[in-house]
Amino acid sequence: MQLFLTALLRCSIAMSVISLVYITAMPLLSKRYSAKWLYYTWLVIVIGWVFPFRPHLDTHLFPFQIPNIQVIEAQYIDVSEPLTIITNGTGGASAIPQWWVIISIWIIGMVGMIAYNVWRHGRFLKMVNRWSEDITNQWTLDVLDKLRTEMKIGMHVGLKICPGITSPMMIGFFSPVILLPSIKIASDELIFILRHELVHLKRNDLWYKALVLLATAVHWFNPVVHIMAKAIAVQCEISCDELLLQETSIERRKQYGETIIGVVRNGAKLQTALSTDFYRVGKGIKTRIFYIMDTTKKKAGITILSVALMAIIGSGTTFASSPAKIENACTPMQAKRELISPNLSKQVINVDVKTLEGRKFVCLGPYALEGDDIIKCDITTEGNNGNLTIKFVEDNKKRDIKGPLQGLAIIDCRIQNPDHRVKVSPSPAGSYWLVIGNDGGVVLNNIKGTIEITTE
Amino acid sequence: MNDMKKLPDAEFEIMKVVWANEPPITTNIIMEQLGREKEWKAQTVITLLLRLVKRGFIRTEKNGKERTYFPMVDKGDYLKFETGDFMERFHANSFTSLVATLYNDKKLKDSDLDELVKWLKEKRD
Repeated sequence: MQLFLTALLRCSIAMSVISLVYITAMPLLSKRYSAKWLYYTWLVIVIGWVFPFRPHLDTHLFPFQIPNIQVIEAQYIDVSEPLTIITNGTGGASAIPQWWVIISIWIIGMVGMIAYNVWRHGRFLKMVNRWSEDITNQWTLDVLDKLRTEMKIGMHVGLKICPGITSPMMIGFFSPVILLPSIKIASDELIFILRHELVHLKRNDLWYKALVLLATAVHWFNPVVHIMAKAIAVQCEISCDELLLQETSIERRKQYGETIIGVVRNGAKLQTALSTDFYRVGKGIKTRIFYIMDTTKKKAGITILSVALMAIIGSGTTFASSPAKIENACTPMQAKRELISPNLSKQVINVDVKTLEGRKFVCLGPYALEGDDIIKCDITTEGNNGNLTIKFVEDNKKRDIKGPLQGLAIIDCRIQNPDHRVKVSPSPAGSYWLVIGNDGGVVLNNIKGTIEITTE
Repeated sequence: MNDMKKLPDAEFEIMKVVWANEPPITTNIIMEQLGREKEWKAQTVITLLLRLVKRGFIRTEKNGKERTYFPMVDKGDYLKFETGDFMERFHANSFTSLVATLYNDKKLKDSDLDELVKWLKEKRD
């Protein structure tokens, strides 16, 4: 779960960057590329938001293959020389992430958001069912049928009039119904309106919207996803207009623009009648009218889509690999004395050191400790007369370690029994380094086992 | 009608017929337009009508043998009461709603629209 949370956060950050870059570039891209391609590039991005895991070309970087709490490689270190440590991850261990708390909050937020939207939509549908009436005007129904045939839409489409809505709309994932507000609509306007809604139907825009909603639910904590949802809603309409107006004259474009303005105006009036609200300028409609009248030839945006796809897939790899080599050097580095260990919060530390000569030690960590923690050691060694010592040393005292017994430690014990429990004295919570040393004169081999940090 | 309450579905159905027809409304009209479709008995319809009278949505008169009904609440007023608030809230956050609308903007000024129309008209060639 912890891994999942990390993957989710990485995804959220990476997708935020990609989405913001795309939004910023949008005005420029809109001039060159067709709205349809820009709209479907958004779809690729939305899918990137919804699925936090990425395929990894380099299997070494795949999150599931990084063992959670395990010393990947440990080399012994000469006591008399300074030590260099490279850790996996940043030194954030001092702030123990209570990941299960975070995950609960995340799940509550996500479920809450989905539940709220389902409830809201259900209420809306109920209202629509109560108030709407089938349109029985044969001419109107014929127009709808003709358009359906023309656009090759096989499924039945209902047509209803619904007082209370301010804009024509299409609802229903499985049995679509077009709803018209109860305002006077001229016949040529009706054709535009129906065609517009049928384009939404044909492109499965409702399912697209549902996917966007899912992305906003999964990443509800991220404001960028909500900005994106807004941008997609705008792009959805612009690309719908584009498809509808393919190869049409400027005169028809004008009529279409006027239809939209007319519907907006009527809707505004209706909404003022329904609620006490004043109106301010909507920038979206201006942009839209501008694109409706824009007849410049646009390129297919397969390049844009590919770039977005590469960025999404690439983000997984770079994000997985970048924190892996953050240095936490405290003294000049000597490569052969590197000790690589994952930096992780409390739990179980697996120890696997092949040999430890007398008066030598290895340093692992840092690990987060709290005042009431109990350290359980369960370590076996081979070899006689060596003295295995285990201690935790404060982060800032690490550079002072000169040998297995030196340096201030909050825990300092010699392991005699295979199962050893030590309670941490009430020292400040923080980041500590685990020092495993051999205080004896004889080599210790195959030092294996676990050191567990628990609260029990 | 200060304390208007949302009508239950059955009473609302009756009210829709009341609004759709020229008053005075008779039980027969309602039976014809609704009773058969819903398979309601005449008694059911009368009970529902009486409830609506109690609520103040309609008033009733007795002309000889036949009882007639007149709407007391305007359809538009009731629509505003029942959906106005909801639609406002629905539109306030409609970007990720699960309906495909014709436009997304929630708030627009008339003068801005005029300006747009003018711009459209001036656009030649």
